Amino acid sequence: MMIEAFQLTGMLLTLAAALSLYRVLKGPTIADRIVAVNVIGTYALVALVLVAYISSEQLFFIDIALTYALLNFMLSIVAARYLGTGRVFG
Amino acid sequence: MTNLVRDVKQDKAGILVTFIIMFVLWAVLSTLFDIVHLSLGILCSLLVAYFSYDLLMRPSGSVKHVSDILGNFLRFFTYTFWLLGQVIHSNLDVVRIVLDPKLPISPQIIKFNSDLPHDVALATLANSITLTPGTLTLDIDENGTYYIHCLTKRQGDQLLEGDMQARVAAIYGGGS
Amino acid sequence: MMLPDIVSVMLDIIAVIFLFAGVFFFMAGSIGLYRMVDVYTRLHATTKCDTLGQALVLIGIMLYEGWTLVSIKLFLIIVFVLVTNPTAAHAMAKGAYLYGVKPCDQTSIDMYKEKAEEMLS
Repeated sequence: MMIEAFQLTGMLLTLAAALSLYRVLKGPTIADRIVAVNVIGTYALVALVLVAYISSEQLFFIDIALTYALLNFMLSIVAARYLGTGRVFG
Repeated sequence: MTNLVRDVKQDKAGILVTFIIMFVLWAVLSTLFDIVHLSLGILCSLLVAYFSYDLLMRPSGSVKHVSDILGNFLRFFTYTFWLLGQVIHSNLDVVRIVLDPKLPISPQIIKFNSDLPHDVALATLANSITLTPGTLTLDIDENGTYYIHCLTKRQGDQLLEGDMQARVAAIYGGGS
Repeated sequence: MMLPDIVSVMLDIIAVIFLFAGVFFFMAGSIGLYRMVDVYTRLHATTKCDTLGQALVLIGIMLYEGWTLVSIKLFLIIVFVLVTNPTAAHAMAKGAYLYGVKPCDQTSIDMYKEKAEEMLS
């Protein structure tokens, strides 16, 4: 019964991600797109944790989710730095 | 001379504390408690602690004793509970604004000065401002001036009363 | 003999409530991203809703999991996102302003303008 709850949560999460995808495709400025990609990254993180339980307790997905959280943070910091200063290093 | 001696002592304490944190993190994340993985973990944590302890434990910062760290931690813990209440409140606020057909926003960018002792306190306040209702930190400059984007005028006025700043100052007050 | 059953069923029900509360906030964040007028107001909606939403969903999964090492990992994810999400939003807002994204027309006061011009010159 809990597995079905996880599946339903995952479906609703996908719906929310699809709504955010509109902003990625449309977004008037590039900053809107990056914000939307960051949001979808957070959804993907939660979806990875859900997948760990839906697919018969493949718990290594949680480690992947942890790494994904790090990557998501790096993405927005580097993208913001590039937007603000025009360079990534130095 | 005495200064130098104390610095070396602080370095050792910093390396030790960083090593313990890193090793606990390794043990929790690996979840393998056999001799090979644990010894590998000790080696890696020692290397990381030796090269980068000064990022985690500021040697010349406001922290002078381990008791200060503990006190800060306890005060921070109680502060976190207050902050969680604010986070839930701010989410309900956002939900109310987003689901309102008229979209009642009147954004403005304001600034205010703060006199917090060091950058950890500044960062704590900046993150707390972002998580509380209707405010978002845009920038902090070297003098501790905050630039805040408010969703509505009322929320900006609430922030300027300085309740949260007093709370953050109270956390780090003992160490400075 | 019946008691452990009732406790575990109760825990499952609470976990499901947490899961759906989290998804509700995710939805609200997405609708905010869709409806708001400029980058800064969109950041308002997404940062707050994402941070609380992921915390609620992962707490729901923690309740299902119980006291194990996996729960500690999930807790680490929650704390990490709770710290980094506002930081990322702050960096994005500053980057967008310096890149030249104008605040929307409804913005009545803009005290950051002089500072940004000074930084860009």
